[in-house]
Amino acid sequence: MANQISASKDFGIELSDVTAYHPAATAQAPPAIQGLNLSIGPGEHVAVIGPSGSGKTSCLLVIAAALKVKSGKVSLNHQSVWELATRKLQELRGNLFFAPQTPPLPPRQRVITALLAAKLPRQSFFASLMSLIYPKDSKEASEALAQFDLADKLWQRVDRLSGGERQRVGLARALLSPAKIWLIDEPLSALDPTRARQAMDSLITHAKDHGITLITSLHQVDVATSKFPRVIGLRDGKLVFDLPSGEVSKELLADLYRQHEHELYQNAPVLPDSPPEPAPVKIIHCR
Amino acid sequence: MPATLAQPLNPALRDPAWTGRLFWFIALLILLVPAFVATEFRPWILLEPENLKVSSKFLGDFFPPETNPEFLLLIAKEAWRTIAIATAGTFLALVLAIPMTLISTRVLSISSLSGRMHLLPFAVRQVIRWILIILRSVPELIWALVFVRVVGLGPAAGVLAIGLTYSGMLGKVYTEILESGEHHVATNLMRNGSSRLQAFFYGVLPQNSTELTSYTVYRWECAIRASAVLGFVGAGGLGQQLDNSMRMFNGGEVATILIVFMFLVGLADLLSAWLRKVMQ
Repeated sequence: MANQISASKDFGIELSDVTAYHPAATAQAPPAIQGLNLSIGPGEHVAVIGPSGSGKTSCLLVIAAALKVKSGKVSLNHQSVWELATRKLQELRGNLFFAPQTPPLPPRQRVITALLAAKLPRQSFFASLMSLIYPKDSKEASEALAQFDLADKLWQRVDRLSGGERQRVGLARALLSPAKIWLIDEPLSALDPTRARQAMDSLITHAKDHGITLITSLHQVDVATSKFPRVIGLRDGKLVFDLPSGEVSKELLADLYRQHEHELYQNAPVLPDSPPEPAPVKIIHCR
Repeated sequence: MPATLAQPLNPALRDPAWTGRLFWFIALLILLVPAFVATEFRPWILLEPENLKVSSKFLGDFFPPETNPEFLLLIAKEAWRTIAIATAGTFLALVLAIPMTLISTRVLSISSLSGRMHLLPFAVRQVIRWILIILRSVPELIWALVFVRVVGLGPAAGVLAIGLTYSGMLGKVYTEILESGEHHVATNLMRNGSSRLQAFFYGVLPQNSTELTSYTVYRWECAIRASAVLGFVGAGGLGQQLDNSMRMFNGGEVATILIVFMFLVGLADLLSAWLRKVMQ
C-alpha cells in the first residue's frame, strides 16, 4: 500500500527565490539563504557542498519544512509548504527525514528505542506506546544497524556509545523512517574514512532501492563528487553552481572555497588512531 | 605562597569582578535588616532565664518517648494512614498535573517549530498556567478546611487537599523541568512528522525522567509532612494524633510521633536516592 501512495505522489522539490534567516539571527545578520532557486526531482541524489557558514544546513532545513522562509516559495509534492495548515504541514513532514549533524539520541534511551523513534510518523499513538513497552520491530532495527556494522549494539544504551557509533546510529534511523526525502546534515563528520565510505554506501544503496530522494550536505568534497551524480555549491547563502558531478572542475572548487582552502584540503585523516589510509594526493576524483 | 602575595602588586592580575561582588554582598546584608526588623527576629530572648525555664520544661516532657505497646500500635496504624494519604494525594496530583504539563509546555508546541507560536495555542497555554497558579496559591490547609466541611472529618479531605495544591506545584515545576532541559530530540521528532505525544514519550521523557522522578518523590515526602499539618484540622493520619497529644500536654507521645515522622522522611529520602541510582 505504501508503494501505491508513493506512486501517486512524486515528492519533487521546488525552491523559487527563497530567502531565509537563521532562527537565532540578529536583525542585522545577513540571510542564511539568499535568492535560492532549486529544483530536485523525486529519487535524485544530491550533495550540497560549500565552506563553513555557507548555508548548507539552512538549505536542508528549508527543504525539510523546518526553517520558515522570509520570502520565496518552497514546494514539496506540488504543494506550497508554508501555505498549508499546521495539521497538513505535519502530515507532509512525515514524508521528510531530516538527520541533524548531532544525532537526536537521548542519553538514557536504548539504541533500539532511538531507532524505532524514526518510525513514529506513520504509527498510531497506541502502537508507538506498545512499541515502548515491548519493541516489536527489533528485527528491522537490527538489520538497519547491521548496515552500519553495529548489530551488537541493539540493546545498548545510547550513552555507552562512542561519538562515531552515535553518528552511525543516527544514520541507521534513516533506513527505518517512512520518509520519501532524506535530508542528511554532515553524515560523516565523526567517522574515519573507512566507516565513512561504508556509511555513505549503505545510505545510497537503500535510497536507490526505495526511490528515496537523498540530499546530504558534505564537507568531504571527494565523497560528494565521487558518490553523487549532482553537486550543489553554496557560498554565503547563495548558489554558486549546480552541476553534474563530472562538470565540477578544480577551478570551480577553488573558487567556492576561496579563503577557506584548508577546508577543501582537510581530507587527510584527522584522527591519529584511525586506520592508515593512503592520503589522496588530489582531492577531486572525477568519475 | 609568594606568588599569591605578589599578585596584588600587579594590577593586571587583580580580579576585576571583585568590587562588584563586594558591593552586592553588602547590599544584600543591608536589604536583610528590614526583614528581620519587620519579623521582630530577636533570637537572644530565647536565652533569657525565664524563657529557658519554660522551653526546657516543654522539651523535658518529651523525654522519655512513649513506648507503651498499645500506643505504638496505634501510631503504626496512623503512620500507615499518613503514608496512604500522602501517596493517594500525590497520585491525584499527578493525574491532574500531567495533562496540564503536556498542554502548557512550549517544548511540545508544533506551531513554534517554525517561528512564533500561533495565537490559539498560546492562549490555551496561558489559561493552563493561570489554573496552575490558582491551584497552588491556595494553601493545602485551606483546601482541607473546605473539604472537611464537604466530605466530613477524615483522610479523604486530606487526600483532596494535597491533590489539588500539589497538582499546581507539580504542573509548574514539571513544565519548568521540561523547558529548561535539552529539547533537540523532541524538536527533531516533531520536525520529522511525529505527533506531540509521540515526541513526549520518545524524546522528552527519556531526557528528563530522573529529574521528574526525584522531584515527584520529594513532593511525596512533602505530602507526608503536609498531612501532619492537615491532621490538626481533622484530616486524619499521624497529624491528628499529634494534635491530640499536644492538647493533653503529653510530651512523651509527641516525641514518639515526631520520631516516627523523622523515620518516614528519612525513608522517602532513601527511596529517592535509590530511584535515582536505578534510573541513572
